[in-house]
Amino acid sequence: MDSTNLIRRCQAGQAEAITDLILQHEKRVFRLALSILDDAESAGEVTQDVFVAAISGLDGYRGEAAFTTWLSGITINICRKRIRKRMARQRLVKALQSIFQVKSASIPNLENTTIKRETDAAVMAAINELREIHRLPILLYYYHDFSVTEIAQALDIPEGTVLSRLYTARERLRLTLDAELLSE
Amino acid sequence: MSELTHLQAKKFIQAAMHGLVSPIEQEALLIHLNGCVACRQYQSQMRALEGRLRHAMHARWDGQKPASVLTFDSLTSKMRLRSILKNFFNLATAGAALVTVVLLVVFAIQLLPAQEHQPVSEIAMTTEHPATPTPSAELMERYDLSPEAQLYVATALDIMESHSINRDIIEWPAFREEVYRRAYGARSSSDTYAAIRFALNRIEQNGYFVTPQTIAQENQLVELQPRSEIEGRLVGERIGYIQIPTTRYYDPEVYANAMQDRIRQVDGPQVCGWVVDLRGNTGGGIGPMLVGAGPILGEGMTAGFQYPDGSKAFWHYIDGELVFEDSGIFETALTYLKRPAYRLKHPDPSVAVLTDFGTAGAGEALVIAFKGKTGTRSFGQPTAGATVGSSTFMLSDGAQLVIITSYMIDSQGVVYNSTLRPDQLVWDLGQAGDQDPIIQAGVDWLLEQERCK
Repeated sequence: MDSTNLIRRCQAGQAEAITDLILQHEKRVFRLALSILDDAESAGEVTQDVFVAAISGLDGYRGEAAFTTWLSGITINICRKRIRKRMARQRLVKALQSIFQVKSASIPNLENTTIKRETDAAVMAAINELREIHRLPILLYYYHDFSVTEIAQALDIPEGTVLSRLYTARERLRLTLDAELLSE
Repeated sequence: MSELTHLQAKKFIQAAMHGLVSPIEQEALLIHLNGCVACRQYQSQMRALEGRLRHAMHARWDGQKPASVLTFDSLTSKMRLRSILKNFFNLATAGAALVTVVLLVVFAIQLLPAQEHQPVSEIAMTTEHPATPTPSAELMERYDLSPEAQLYVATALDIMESHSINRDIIEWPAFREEVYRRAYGARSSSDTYAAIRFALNRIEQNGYFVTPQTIAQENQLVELQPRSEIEGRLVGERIGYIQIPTTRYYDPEVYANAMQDRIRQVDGPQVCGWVVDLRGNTGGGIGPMLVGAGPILGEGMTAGFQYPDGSKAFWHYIDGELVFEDSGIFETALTYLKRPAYRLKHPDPSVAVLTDFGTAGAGEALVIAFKGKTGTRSFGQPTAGATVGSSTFMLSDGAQLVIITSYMIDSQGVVYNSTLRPDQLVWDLGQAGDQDPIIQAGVDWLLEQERCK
């Protein structure tokens, strides 16, 4: 079924169509949230929130951008909110630690997952060190295979800005990573 | 195409990764790579980096699955719960919300006209204040917005609708709905930033939105790098060289005075022409630049702006002051100089203006000012194309909304609304000082002019 028809049926409130829509896009949304948050549990929760927000706001979708791009924009916004909350919580825990001198509680951490390959670990660490404005275009371009135009639409920034952020991000990654890692 | 610098080669290598180089640029890149080991290594590192990035991210995330399966039921129950909570909130806190709205209106009436809509750009002229927006309970409900977020978006949209150069070609009711939809669920002003950026990108190519965090970072940068020096020297014995940088790292008065002081030091009875270097001048305040360069630019009309209704306004440099003329009426006079204005030993000289891709905004206004002057020729590369006048509006949380309100015009009234091509294209091969080929091209031309023969 083509997505325009599916979206129209969802807008009419058909439960079956909404299920189809979820099935069609769930993996993509989860994977995008996972790559931004690097935590499967949070990504699962975000996936639910994304569909709640998307279905509630479906009437406002006018098809100016592809539906997947529109959905990606919602996913990115919800992930950003969650990152802000996570950072606030980390700051709070840090403050409490300094007051009570206790060991860290278990907070989802970008470094918690075991990474077998040292090279991949070094690359992931370098990616995680990037600022969000540079990290997101890298994730969208190299992991999610978004085009520059799609990234611009999802992040609400001009295409030229996407290119300059990719340029800066690659330069920083190149400088951060050991030259040996980048020998072909 | 001339030989590339290493920096240009790097940019082309990255642009090629997106298929964004022309055949001519590709050829220039190949020529450069043939003779440059470092850039070949850079290209190879970039290729390897792309492979490493893809591999690392796929290895990290491909195998992971969501903890629970998302179903229609789980989703609808979550939506129902949200709806119940929302209704509960609406009933239980209606009174409190009403009080909040009333307080916000009072706050807006007292503060907004005085602070929030005040244009702060140095380029900006007197600007009308848009009407204070009224909080809309309907919009808050429809787009799940807090009063603060709704008022914030309304303020930004009002400013755009009142001031943007493209205000007459936008279908505002539909556009406003679209922007509110993008701000769906926003609770604070920062939650609406993406929606406001979307709005700005839709209506203007050159407008931009700066968050309070970015402003704080930039202010810190300015505090860390205060500058007071302007570069100027003699090239050979008869040509004066002056660099006109962005004003961003200077106090406006310091900038204008330092520029005139440097011109005074370089000038002499033997100087027969001037090189004005605007390369890398990314803009800033037009006032200090026009006054600083005033001795070379000469007295009279310099440059101006044309508004969407066709009316024009000009800046005049008169005896060290900048006087603003709007539709034939002379109004504001800006004074930056602490000493009497300097006058060249030989007024109205021939001028070589140097530009590149980094010349933008007020930097381009200077190029336009010199274009309207006889005995001027430009050299280098095309400019950035930000030939617009802007006004900056400060919003309630300190963010700044920069709106394009006009196009630049020269003293003859010619409108410039795109990149400015130099009269003579010259590529920079990376050498420094007097050997700079763009400076040299300007000097060679000046020495051929009547005054220097």
